Amino acid sequence: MSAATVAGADPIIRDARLLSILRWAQQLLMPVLLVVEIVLFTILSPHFMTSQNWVNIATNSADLALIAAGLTLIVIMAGIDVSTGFAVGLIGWFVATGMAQGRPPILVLTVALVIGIVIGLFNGALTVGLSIPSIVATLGTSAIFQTLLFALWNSTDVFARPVFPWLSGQARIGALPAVVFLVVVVYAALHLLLSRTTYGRSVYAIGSNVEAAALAGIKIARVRMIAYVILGALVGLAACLYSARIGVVQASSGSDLTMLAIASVVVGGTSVLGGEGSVLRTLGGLIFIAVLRNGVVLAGVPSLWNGVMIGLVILLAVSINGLVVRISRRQRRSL
Amino acid sequence: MKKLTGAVALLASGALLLSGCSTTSTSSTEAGTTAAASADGVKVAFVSQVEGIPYFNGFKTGGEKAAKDLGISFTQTGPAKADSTEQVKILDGLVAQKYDAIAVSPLDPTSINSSLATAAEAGVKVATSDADAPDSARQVFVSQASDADLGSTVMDQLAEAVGKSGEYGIVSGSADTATFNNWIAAAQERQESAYPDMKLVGGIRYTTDTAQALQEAQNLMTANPDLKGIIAVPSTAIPGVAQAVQNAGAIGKVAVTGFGSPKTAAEFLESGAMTSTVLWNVEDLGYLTVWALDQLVEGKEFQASNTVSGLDSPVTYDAASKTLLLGKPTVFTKENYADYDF
Repeated sequence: MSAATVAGADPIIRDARLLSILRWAQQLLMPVLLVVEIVLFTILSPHFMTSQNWVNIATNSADLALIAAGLTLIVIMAGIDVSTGFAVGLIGWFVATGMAQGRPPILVLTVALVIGIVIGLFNGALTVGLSIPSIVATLGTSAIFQTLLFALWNSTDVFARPVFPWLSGQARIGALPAVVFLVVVVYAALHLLLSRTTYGRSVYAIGSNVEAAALAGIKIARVRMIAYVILGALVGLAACLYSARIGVVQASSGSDLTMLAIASVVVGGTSVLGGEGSVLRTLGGLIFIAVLRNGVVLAGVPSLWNGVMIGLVILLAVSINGLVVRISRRQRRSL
Repeated sequence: MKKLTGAVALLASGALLLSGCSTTSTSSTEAGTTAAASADGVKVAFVSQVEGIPYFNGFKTGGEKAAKDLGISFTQTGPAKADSTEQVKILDGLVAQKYDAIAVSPLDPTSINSSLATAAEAGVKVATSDADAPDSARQVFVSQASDADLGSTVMDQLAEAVGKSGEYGIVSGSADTATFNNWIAAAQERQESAYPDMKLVGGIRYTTDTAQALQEAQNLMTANPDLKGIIAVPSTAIPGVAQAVQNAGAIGKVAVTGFGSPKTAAEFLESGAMTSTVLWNVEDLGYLTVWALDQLVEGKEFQASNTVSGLDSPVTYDAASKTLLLGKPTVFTKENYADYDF
């Protein structure tokens, strides 16, 4: 009797212990990697730990930060959006053209936000209304945005002036670029939305178990649609930042942002399986990637290694996540 | 599941519709034929890679000028979107219309071969210009400038701007573009032999778009505070690198040059963020191409050095590779960029 109990209890205890270690690793992975990374680059390059360099890092990743924040909502609901980069390029073309034609900045900003929301509604309608898996739907829309940008660009670069001074990386509030405050406000707002509101709870509920959420009376279609609209508006805002920062819109504009945004969310530790994550984690992942992209150049590493390092960290984060899911399932079964 | 299948079918039909759209949009845009009275009725044509863009508009301006000077008729046409199958169709159409000589800037040097061969069999004189199809039936390739000349000219420009010494960086495009790599190799060779006091730092930075070029340039400047110059290789990198220098308030401290058309560089030549840009004069290339087509129709042989009345310097001909070389690259600066419209 006692032997049987021990034999039965042993793996459960072991699993519980392993699970707590893994959960702990999951929580600490990003902070630890960030500290290691920053210490390493500070040692490797005397130019890394300078205020000017941090200002560069911050302004260069502000547009990405806005997209990654909105994308986090989608990923928590086990969805994805791979059209964000070319959406930024496409909206950026309208922003740059509007500014070049001397339209009022407030109108240009409004148009950018409206196009962003329309794009969000379009992506949302495909995934929510037609039940197309979000990766397939947004792959389709991404191709459409890319072609539209190519057609509009028509081999003529559009040079852009910042929509508003505070939307460019050049404007400062104190020592910090104004865009940093914009990013902080967006992250604070989304964090509160996710952690303090019914809407936020619905998002997590849908991500954990759609059927259960539906049974609990959550209007799944509406919650998903709102998330796509939020992401769309943020993409519109990011397009204003992007065109101000780069100063020109070409056929390839924005293309990089798609993968970087997904990487920021995943590296941050938000589960691609849904139900778990936060915008603060995304912020951690984003800083990690932004610092990595900057630091490797300063340390004199060929830029090709960027990809390898980001890829390894993604795999590490996802493997820990996957292990947690597997072990907690096994534990639930044996209980 | 049924719903999903339906959705996928819908998406597929959407994709079909989209591709259908793109085929119709690549229909050729026929450019106006030069109305020059052609006494001997010589009709020549040029097929561009994509019609309507500033670069090939510049080509057309030069070609029409040559046609007027020579008293022949010249037509320029090309696909509305860079599409090699569409380009082949346009070429076939021109052959059917019994043009005496046709030049083409091939988008794909292999798929154009059979059409060029058919044209040559039909008695049409064929040439390539701007881009080559070396294994085709073309009788001459009109080349804008050699990669070696372009590379060393850019290095000369940079050296002049930085006082022949100091650190410099190179921001290139994708690592597998042969043209970029040739230009860079020539530039580096020139630096090693002529400017030993200059030093490349950070290796060659490969980028995919303007945003990346901007970041690479910024990081290069941060990592190397003594950096004195940057070469921006592709036209996507030029605005990014120049913008980075402008944002850092480094105009006058970090010189930027590269391979960009005067229009791409205009804003930065004006602000001083770019000291110069190096390319060829595409109007002259158009002029030379039409002249070469006329020579072919007249059955005249090219000499090792040819004097073309509408061009400033003599044009060399390499019989082994059947290549007419326009000459040295053109340097565009704040003083002269406004004279060019491409």
